Amino acid sequence: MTNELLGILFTNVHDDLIHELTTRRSMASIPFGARYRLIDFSLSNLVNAGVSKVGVITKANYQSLMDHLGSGKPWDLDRKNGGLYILPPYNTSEAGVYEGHVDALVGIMQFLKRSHETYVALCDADVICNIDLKAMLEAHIEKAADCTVAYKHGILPRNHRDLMSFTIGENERIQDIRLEGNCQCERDFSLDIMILEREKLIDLVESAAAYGRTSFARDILLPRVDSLRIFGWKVATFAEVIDSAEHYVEANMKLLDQSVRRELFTPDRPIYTKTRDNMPTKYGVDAKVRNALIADGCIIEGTVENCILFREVIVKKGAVLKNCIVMQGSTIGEDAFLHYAALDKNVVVSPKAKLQGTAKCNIIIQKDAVI
Amino acid sequence: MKKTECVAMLLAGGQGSRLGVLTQNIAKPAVPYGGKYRIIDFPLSNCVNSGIDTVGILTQYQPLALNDYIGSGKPWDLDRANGGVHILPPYQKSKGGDWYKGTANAIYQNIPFIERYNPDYVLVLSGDHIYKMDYAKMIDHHRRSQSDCTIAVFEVPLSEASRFGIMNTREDGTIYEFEEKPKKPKSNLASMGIYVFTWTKLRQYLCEDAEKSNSSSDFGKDVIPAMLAAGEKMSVYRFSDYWKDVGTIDSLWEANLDLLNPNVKLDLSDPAWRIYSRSEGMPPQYVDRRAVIENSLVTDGCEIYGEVDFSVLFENVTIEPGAQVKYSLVMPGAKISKDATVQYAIIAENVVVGPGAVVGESPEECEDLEGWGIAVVGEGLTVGENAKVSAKAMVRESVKAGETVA
Repeated sequence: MTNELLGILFTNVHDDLIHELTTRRSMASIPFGARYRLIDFSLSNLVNAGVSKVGVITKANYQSLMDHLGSGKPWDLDRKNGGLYILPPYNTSEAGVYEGHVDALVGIMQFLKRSHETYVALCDADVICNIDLKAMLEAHIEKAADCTVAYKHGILPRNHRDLMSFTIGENERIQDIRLEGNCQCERDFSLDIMILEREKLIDLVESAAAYGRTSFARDILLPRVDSLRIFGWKVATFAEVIDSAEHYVEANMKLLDQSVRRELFTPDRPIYTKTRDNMPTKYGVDAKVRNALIADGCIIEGTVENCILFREVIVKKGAVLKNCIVMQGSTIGEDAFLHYAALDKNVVVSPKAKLQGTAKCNIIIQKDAVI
Repeated sequence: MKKTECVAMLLAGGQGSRLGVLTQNIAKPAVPYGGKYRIIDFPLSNCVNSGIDTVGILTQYQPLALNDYIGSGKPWDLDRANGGVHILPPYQKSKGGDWYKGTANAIYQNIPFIERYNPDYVLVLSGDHIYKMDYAKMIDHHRRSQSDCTIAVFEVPLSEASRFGIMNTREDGTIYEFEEKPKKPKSNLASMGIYVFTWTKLRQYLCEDAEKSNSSSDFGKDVIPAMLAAGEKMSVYRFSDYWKDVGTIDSLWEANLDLLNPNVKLDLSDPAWRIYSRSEGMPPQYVDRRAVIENSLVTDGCEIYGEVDFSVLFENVTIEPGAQVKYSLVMPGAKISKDATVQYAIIAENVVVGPGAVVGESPEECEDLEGWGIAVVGEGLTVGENAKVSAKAMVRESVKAGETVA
């Protein structure tokens, strides 16, 4: 069972949607939830289902991702058999860098063909959820499906080109696929996590590529909604597809809700990430912390309310942070005041500095900035 | 086999009986410390940070938790193709087998392990202390002074010197006498139980010691005195940074709370000398609206809804609303239920303190100050609803609701 499933992750999906955070990294390596990167969720989902071979398709800006993944140790993917495969763009003279999932898969065709696993799980790395892929695979096999797609019910994410929404029929069979773009309506929509037979995937991709098609949803699944047995796999627990900087902030803040944490951090399916061997977080004599999610390695001497603090954040005496996201290694100087701000990594906020955004519009500060 | 300059041998077989219920099921080096560490993380991390990549861990007492914790040595970067970490329990030989009789005997029984690496020096460590030390400097000192044995020493107040093994030295730092717990100490240089030996010399003395039927085969009692008597060159290596024995309930409690004292020189956040530990897959800590946390260390996986002051919370601890934790250590996975009070206490792993229960007393409130001390609740136990655990109690069985344990 465990060697039956091959994992493929797309890491540069929708980078343009959060350009504030992707100028120097890919979507997959955006920090999330105090100590994670987006890719940790899909990687952990795969590993928790017993997957021991994962191909990570990269395209651009992938230095920070490579740094994060290393040899795959934290996910137990430093293996002799299988393990982690970083698959940078295969830039042929006639093709150039890929645009959609289909040409990305064409670029790794040799990898797909040389693998021996019966099934493949394709996952976009901008989806945050903790799902049981093993159960999804079992359902896929039991239903003799050609393709099983994880979906959730909710408001459609914005700006996602080729995001599929479904009409789900009896026994979870997908009857209709629509690509509705920016309709902002309530739908059963794809989480872009799907399982197919490897041989089938190779066939579908090769035939689409022969016609110069690039979109997996538009060019492969949509025209075959009747001829293929496509099934849905409903995710009723926390699942977010990040579609903008505002939504990114919102999704982070949702983790302050206990029920969301229970769904995302289940003890039987832990979310793994790179360890940094920080000491525990130190709360000083004057620390006032309310409703906050905090990683190890922070030193807090000021006031922190409704915030997400990543590792090694220092909040000096008298500093006040409300409704903020502060990424790894940032320092907030004495008596600084930050309201509705999102700080990227290693930002230094000088003493008494003031940053005030609004609930609707968070101030986003770039990596390594000094305020 | 590639030559290895120095092999470290870590003595981790002791029971640590003075820690009572805390070492009932685990060896002392596996006792949790500092929120996310275990005592053994300190010598192990020191080894790696000092460039020593071949470490033998000698286990004997309750090795299960320790073996499990060390695993392949991954968290300390000691999963190596050459060297790495090796667990060395006592084993059966063709002519019978023996438990490790003493510290020196444990090394003696593993001579074949050490010989595999053909080292110049052997570093002998214990798993009893919290400290950050660059062993490479000590080995350098050993090499430059051309000693046969170098012993790390720490200056203790002369008034306390009679509790330690004391090294009496000449001006050049060579040792002329070793006194175990002397009534009238002549010096204040206490042995830290950290030894560097030139391997050929140590091998010779271990073999000689093994021939003596009346020897207790202990470094302090037998091997060091024998080397001194034979006139080998023995030197001290002075160490003056933070060093603390965590062999008793009081010292374990103090050494943890030392991390909250800004005047204590033990910085675990130095990126150049990280202390590594095994910790995987835990979510970040959550601090609720109702929570009050001051002057404390809190680790990944904790959920805090109550009040925490002057305490160290280990991973996955839950403090429910209305609960109060003061001057205490709450070890991994423990839960302090609503309206419970925990003060001046050590709550071991996976303990559940029931609603309204009271564990420990503050010295101010305690009527019998002579009988005051840190209260300890052993691993996996439950303290029932509204039960009371008095100061200095050592709880070995679950406490029923409403009961009082003295």
